[in-house]
This record gives sequence, C-alpha cells and structure tokens, in this order.
Amino acid sequence: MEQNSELLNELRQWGSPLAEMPRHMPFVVEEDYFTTLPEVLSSRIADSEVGKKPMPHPVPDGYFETLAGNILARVKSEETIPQLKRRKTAFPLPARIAAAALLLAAGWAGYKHYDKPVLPAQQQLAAIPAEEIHQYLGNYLDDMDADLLAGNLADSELNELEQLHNDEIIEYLNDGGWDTSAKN
Amino acid sequence: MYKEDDHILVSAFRNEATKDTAFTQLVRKYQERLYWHIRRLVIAHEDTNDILQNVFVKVWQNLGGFREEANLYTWLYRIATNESLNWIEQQKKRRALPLSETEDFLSARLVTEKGYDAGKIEWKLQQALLALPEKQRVVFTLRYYDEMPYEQMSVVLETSVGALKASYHHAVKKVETYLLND
Repeated sequence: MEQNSELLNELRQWGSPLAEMPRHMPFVVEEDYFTTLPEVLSSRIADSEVGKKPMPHPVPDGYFETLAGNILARVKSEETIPQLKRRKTAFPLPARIAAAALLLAAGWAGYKHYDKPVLPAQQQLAAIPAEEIHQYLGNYLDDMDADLLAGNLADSELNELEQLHNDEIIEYLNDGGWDTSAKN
Repeated sequence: MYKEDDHILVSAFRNEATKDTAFTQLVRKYQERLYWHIRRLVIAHEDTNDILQNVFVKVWQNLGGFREEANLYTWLYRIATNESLNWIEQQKKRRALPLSETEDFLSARLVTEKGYDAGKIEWKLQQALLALPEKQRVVFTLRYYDEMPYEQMSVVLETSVGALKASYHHAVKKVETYLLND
C-alpha cells in the first residue's frame, strides 16, 4: 500500500524502531457492537426528532416576525394606564380598623397610667418630711462643701441663711440636681 | 479529493425518501475508523461509544448543510477529534485536574482494560502515547494508526502541514524515549 510505504519510509528515515513495531490496537470490543450501532443510532435520532414533526395548523404570514414588537407595544401601553385598582392586602378593612382602635386604646391607657401630673416644686418639697431633707443634705453635701459655703458667706449672709425661704432652698437644690424619690 | 460514493451518500441523505437509508450506510462505512480514532484518545469503550454516538448525531443534524466540495472523511474526523478533545477537557474540569494529572487519569483507565499486559509492546505504546500532550497525541494517532496524509490532517486539525510534520516527528521521538526507558 502506497500510504503504508510512505509511513514506514518516514519512520525509517528518522531511524525509528516504530517502523518495525506491530500497529494493531490491543483494546477489546464487543463482538456485535458495530453490527448494532447503526440501529442504536437510528433509534436515538428518532427519539430526538419527536416533537419536531410539522403541525398541520396554519400560521399567519409574518406572525413570528412581528410578535416581539407587538408584545412590546402592548407592555408599554399597559404601563401608561394609571393603576386605579386598590392594592390587595392580606388584611381586610374591618380587621385593620379594629387593630388601629386597639392600638389607640392601648396607647391611651399607657399614657394615663404613666403620665402623672407634676406638682409644683413647693408642693413636692412640702410633701417630704424635714428629717428626710436633712438626711439627704447630710448624704449629698459633704463637710468641705458646708465649710466652703460657710467660709464664703459673710456673717450677714449667714444670718440670711436662717431667713432663707423654701423657694430659695428649692432653687439651690434644683441647680445641683436632686431626686425627690431618693430614700434611704 | 471528493469521493464519488460519499457524494452519492450526501445526495441520498438530502432526499427525505432516502435519508434514513443513506445515514445508515454512512454510519456503517465510517463507524470503525471513527471508533478507533476516538478510543485511542479516550481509552475506555463506554466513553468512546458515547462520543461516537454524539458524533453521528451531529452528522445527522449537519450533513444537510455540508459543502460538497469538502471531503466528507476529513469532516467526520474533525467532528470526532473535537468531540474527543472536548470530552477530555470536561473530564479535567470535572475532576479539577491539573495538566500533569490528565495522563494519570487516562493511564488509570488503560490498566483496567480487558487483556491489559504491561509487558506487551502494544500496551506499552498506549502508555507512551498518554504521556504526549493531547494535540500531539492526536497528530501521532492520525498519522501512525490512520495513515492520514499531512494535507488531510491539516484540514482536520486546521494546522499547517509543516507544523504537523514537526509535531509528529517530536511525538515519535518522545514515544521512542519512553519505550527505551521503560
């Protein structure tokens, strides 16, 4: 065979031992593989052709060419129409009204419970026993503050301390911050 | 050169009345050559069968548009070669194989082949081929086993004749080295 000679001559020119080696393939193939392959293929191709057979129903000329444009035009026109329909929600109107009323009632009750009227400072102070005020001052006013205060005040002012009104004491305490609920 | 009988087959395939018969004849004519070409590349029969069937399904789908001035034989080999190389690429990706381990993956399949004998020269040659880069292995098998002329191989692999000659020469030398060192 001409091609065979050409192949062997090429290998021999290169001094290759492959020229003298057997070239048969060592792999094993099932005896009837090639006999049945064409039928296997025909069956596979027949299965793949299912659904591709022509349908008898006529289609208007140019239908598929214009379909995309028609759909797009329709979508655009639907987008410009105002949406007047009410959005549907998971909760009907009566249920929403009832829930709002419940929330208002709970809010009002909480407001009434927690929102106590603030008495004027004078009334609050009058409500506190004198002993408690002395105890408070003793706890929150240290000796140094007392001496400092005394030292800074002239004798005349010290005399004036004895004449301090409750308003002035309250004003003093408010400046320093005091807690009417503080109890020991 | 366009073979007359291939021309008749293609014409018969394009006739709906004779399409199935023509296709069956085409399969019977080329099945063994294509089978062995694929099997030399992928080793296992099961994989070869899958790829070969895919090749012929593609032939069925595309033979109607086949240009008659081309060679049917080289066209079929090109499809078979591409399907085989694509399969190898998929196996590499599926196994996340680095390039160096593709040989091991196919070599492991080779040793499980029925009748495998590491002492026999024909099995050693198959091991030597697996050590070649994929495209060089294709060149070697087309030339050495299929005795394909370089001009036809150039159409199949879309590579110049000169490059193919050089590639085949290098492949032969590598195989010799492998066999001598084994």
